[in-house]
Amino acid sequence: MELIISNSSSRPIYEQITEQIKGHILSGRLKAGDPLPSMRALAQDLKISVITTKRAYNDLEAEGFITTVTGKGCYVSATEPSLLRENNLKIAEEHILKAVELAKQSEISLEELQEIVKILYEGE
Amino acid sequence: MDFAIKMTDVRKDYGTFSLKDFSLEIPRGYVTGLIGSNGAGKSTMMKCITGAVIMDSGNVEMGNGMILKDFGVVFDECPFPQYIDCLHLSTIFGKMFDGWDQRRYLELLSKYGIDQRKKVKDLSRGMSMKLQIAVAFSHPTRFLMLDEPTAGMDPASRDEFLDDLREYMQDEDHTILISSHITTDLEKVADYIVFINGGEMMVQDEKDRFTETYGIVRHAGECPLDRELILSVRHHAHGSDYLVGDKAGVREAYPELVVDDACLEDIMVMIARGSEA
Repeated sequence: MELIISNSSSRPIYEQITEQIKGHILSGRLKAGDPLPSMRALAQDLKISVITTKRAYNDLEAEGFITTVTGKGCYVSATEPSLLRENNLKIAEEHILKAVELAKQSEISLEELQEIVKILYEGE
Repeated sequence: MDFAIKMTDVRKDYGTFSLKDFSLEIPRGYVTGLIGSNGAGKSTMMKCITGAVIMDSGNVEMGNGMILKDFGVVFDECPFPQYIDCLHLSTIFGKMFDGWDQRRYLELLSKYGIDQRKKVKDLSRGMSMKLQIAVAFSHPTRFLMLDEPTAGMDPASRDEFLDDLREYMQDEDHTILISSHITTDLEKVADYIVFINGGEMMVQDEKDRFTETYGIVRHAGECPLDRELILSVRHHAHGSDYLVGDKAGVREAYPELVVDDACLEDIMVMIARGSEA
């Protein structure tokens, strides 16, 4: 499992882990039933605190992305594609909200903002 | 959370220095890093845990059925007989420790580049720390207490040693208490940080919380902050540095100010040498 942790990022490390594991699950690189490294092994591999990996796994479990089997470890949950879409839509909405707030502060019009979104969406 | 070691109101008075009603829980299954200036009480505190120092009052408890035999200890001064070579030390330790693993000991000596035939007195400081570490890792332990283990070690050796500690922590019943003046080592390996100063506990918190929440405001002229936000201040010729415990909050409330991230060393120096606002 590929994970890139930045110490200089303003995002807390546990968030970087949850986002990237979610990304792996959503993109299908991690499939339902795939085992995840134990919290302690992941902490050792990434040279970070086990408190951090614990928090990341707890968050992933709370959001239904992984399940813990006592005594065995953590596995990727069987997730509905619609649930994943829902989750991504929610995240996209949060990002757009930030852009809208920023636009309002700087008197950027709705039309301008829509134009940017259109260009970015079609450009990719 | 359950504890490996619990100190309650431990007091030790040396006249010039004292540990004052010191209380601390060292969580089981985690690495706790101990920081503080020379003479802050780190070694005294550790010696109270092992019983090497008789406390004036207070109590030290061990959690989850741990006993002294489960300890692996590295002291700042190598306590082994000076005129015995490293190979023969193994015979002594074979009698001292239950479950002494001579093979592992010799493997570690060669991994750390220690000549088996060398006498303890002929080892450099870094090497004698490595020898103690090899001994601590060669018998079954549940709690490692390491007083300045990385002192005198080169960066590559320190990195290798930190990897060994991470490996040790794969067992969730294992606990480490480690002190170091090389605070970056603790940033790399500790889960919790305890900061002591003048024989008193200043802060105990998750390591990530230290590095994620503390910040330093750099400003010239009148103090720009609400005093309640300031933990410590240092003035210099061209301005002042203010240590704050909630840099995100400060950045939001005072967007015009320069707010730097603070590392463990910054925090420690600001608290030890700064003054109150």
